Amino acid sequence: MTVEANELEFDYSKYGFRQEENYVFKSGKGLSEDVVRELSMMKGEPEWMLKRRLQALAIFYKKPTPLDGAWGNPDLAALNYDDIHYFVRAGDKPATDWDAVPEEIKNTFERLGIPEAERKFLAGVGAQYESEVVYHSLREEWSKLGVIFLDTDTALKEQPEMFKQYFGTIIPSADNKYAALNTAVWSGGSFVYVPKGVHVDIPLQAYFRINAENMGQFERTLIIIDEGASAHYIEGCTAPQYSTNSLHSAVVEIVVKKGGKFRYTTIQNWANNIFNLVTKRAVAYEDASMEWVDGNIGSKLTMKYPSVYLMGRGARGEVLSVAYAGKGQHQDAGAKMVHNAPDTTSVITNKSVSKGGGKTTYRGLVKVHPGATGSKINVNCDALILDDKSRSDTIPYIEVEEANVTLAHEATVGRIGEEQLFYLMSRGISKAEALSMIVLGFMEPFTRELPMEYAVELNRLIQLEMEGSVG
Amino acid sequence: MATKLPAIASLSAADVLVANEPAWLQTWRQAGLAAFNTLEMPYWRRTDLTAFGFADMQLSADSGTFRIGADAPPGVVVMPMHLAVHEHVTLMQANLGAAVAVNVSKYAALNAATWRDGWFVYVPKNLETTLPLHLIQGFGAGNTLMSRNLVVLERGARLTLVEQLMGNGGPYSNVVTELILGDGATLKYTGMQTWGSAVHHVGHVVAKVGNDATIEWSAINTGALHAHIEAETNLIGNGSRVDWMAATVASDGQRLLTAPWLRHVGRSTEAHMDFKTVVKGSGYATFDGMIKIEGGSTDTITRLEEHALHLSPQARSDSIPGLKIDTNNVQKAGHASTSGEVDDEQLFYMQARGISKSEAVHMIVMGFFEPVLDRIPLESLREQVTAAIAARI
Repeated sequence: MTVEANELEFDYSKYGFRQEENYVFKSGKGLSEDVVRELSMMKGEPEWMLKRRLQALAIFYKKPTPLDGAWGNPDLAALNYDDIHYFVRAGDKPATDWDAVPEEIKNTFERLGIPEAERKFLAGVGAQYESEVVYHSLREEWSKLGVIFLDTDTALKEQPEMFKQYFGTIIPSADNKYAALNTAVWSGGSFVYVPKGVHVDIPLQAYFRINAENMGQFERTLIIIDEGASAHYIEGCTAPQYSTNSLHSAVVEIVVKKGGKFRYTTIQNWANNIFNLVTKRAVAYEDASMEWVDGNIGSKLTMKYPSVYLMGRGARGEVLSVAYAGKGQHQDAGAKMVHNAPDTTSVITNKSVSKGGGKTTYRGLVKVHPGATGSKINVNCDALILDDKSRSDTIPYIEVEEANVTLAHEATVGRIGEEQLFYLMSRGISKAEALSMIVLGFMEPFTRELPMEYAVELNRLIQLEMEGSVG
Repeated sequence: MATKLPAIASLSAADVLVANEPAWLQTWRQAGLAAFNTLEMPYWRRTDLTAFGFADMQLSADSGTFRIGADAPPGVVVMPMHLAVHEHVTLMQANLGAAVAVNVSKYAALNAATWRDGWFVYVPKNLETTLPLHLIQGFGAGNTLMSRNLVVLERGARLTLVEQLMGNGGPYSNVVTELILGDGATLKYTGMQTWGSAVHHVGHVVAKVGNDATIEWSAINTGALHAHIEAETNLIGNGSRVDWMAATVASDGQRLLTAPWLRHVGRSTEAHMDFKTVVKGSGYATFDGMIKIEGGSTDTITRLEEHALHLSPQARSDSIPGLKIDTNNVQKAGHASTSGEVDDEQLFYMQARGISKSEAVHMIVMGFFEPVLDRIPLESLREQVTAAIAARI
């Protein structure tokens, strides 16, 4: 066992390196109307998008910061909007094949293991380096099927009608302060369209990275799953370690039409100095199914509540998430399910672990509107607190405006039992290993939903985090 | 028409003085007024009191009516607050505001500045009584009730107390009740909000529980048009316990909110909460609860059950069963919450036995409330409340 654990030891340095900066364009620090105009001009965007960005910027200035640091709520006071780069572009235009990707960027991906994924999957890989997607490959048969998988900037140019039809309709600029900020300065992200009845078997993958110090990353993702279609999208995040706070604020909008099926998997592992303030929302129509599989391991503070609006009869939503908060980290994550139609179903399963002074918060909403008869809702939140410095909050909001509903919510908070540890240690397992086995077991309902290589990576990360936890 | 104080928004220092009150209390009221003028009006998403023009409202100079429903148990001091502030100065100064500070909220501050009367109950050291004490307060139509109640149990004391708000007053009542339990004390407390349908009620009920002390708290919340009750149990002493049950019925037009806070402070504290809600017609009930386990509170056991039954499609229930846990040394912590209508299978089972549907619903709902109603210590009162709830379903 011991030998295996050592072999699996994770090379954490690969998450902590930095590349020389060599950018084509980098906006100055800080946010202003001029920055937004310049950004839009550099991208050669249509007038409507510039207008939309400027409107959103005005909303961003007006909106108050959510929550207030009181009662253990996230504290966003350390976030200095004037100390962030709002737009950086590496490479002039998105590369279409691997050979065209700059050597320096390839080195970065090499160390992140992207060629690995490329070889393994021969799948569509949208890899975001800095603020724009620089590499895309899409399996040929998908193109034949009419699947569109582009970086969002290119999609605005190549799919202007579909883009304009859906952009900002699921998450309007005024939804919250960070959705407004993203709309004002968004750059990069993925655009996916899966046509009627098309099933995409191999996951669509995108890698997102932050490199430049103090650089904000504001990717914008828009995914449309047409009637009866199905797909799985995976994003994984890593970032180098820096000394000052950086901001990542994404917006992800998803439409799953009648009978469609979609799963969105995220492993978030930003460096521990990054504010990760993300708005993710999907609408699911009649008999559609939307699943968020969401792992939050990194960042200084994450605020993320993936949501599903169940708009048609028989629609189904699921959020399966884990959060891990170590020293100096606060994972404020959860889920929202809004039942707007009869016979809709939602399931929320949340597992969180806090350790070394870290804090996890489950914050969630289940809303059943009048007329959503026969809705079924099941919410389960389990928190594990590993030491006496760490904390965990559970704040579920449940609003029911319909009688014919079955809703159950269950939460537990606990520590690792001495008996469990004793049992494992009496079988010759070291305490550190025993702890990591128990934590991995606790997270297993999440990990088993991940593609194999992600599950392996997550398990390694957790094992690494568990090292030095004894003593 | 009873005399009134000036509008709430323009109360002066002189307005809150009550004739012949001791100097220490006058100072205390001024602190309340200062806090009232400084504090912001709380933003309540789920209780809306703007409808009846709070700032322009004039409080009654009249104190309301206070009576004892059953004989006071021997040895227990029971007297109106306006007398107790003269006769029990040391106890008053030590305990008034100890559980609900003058500046804890805008409404608590208003209460501190302008309370007229209330009940003072004192159980001396090691005095154990089983005879229930039933205290009732009310007020007339067109009036307000500003009431302040203080219950102090010394070390090892034991008391069974029912505090009932009853009658067709209105428009506004603001009631603060402080429950102070010394080491090893036991209080069986039933708090009943059974106001008539014209009342807008804001309540603070806060218990401070000493070492190895136990409070068995049953809350009945069926009256008023709008009610916003902030209830709090502070398990401060080591080995302190609360067994907390509640029954809420909100029917047509009613908006009833209960915000129970449970704070685990001492070591080896234990709490069981079982809150039940029935909403009917256009009734709207909210459970906005929080269990907080402080960092130093080790070996805690805490469990919350919270269930809402919907009897009509228009009714609404909100549940926010929060947990804030600042220690890992927890024995057990968790909550469960459900919402929905009466179980079809249960209904079918009973209908198959010849019971009509409405009767079956009735029986299921009464069974749902039975554990909390069973704890009302006075049989006649229990029957009265049971009948009143039954009549509304």
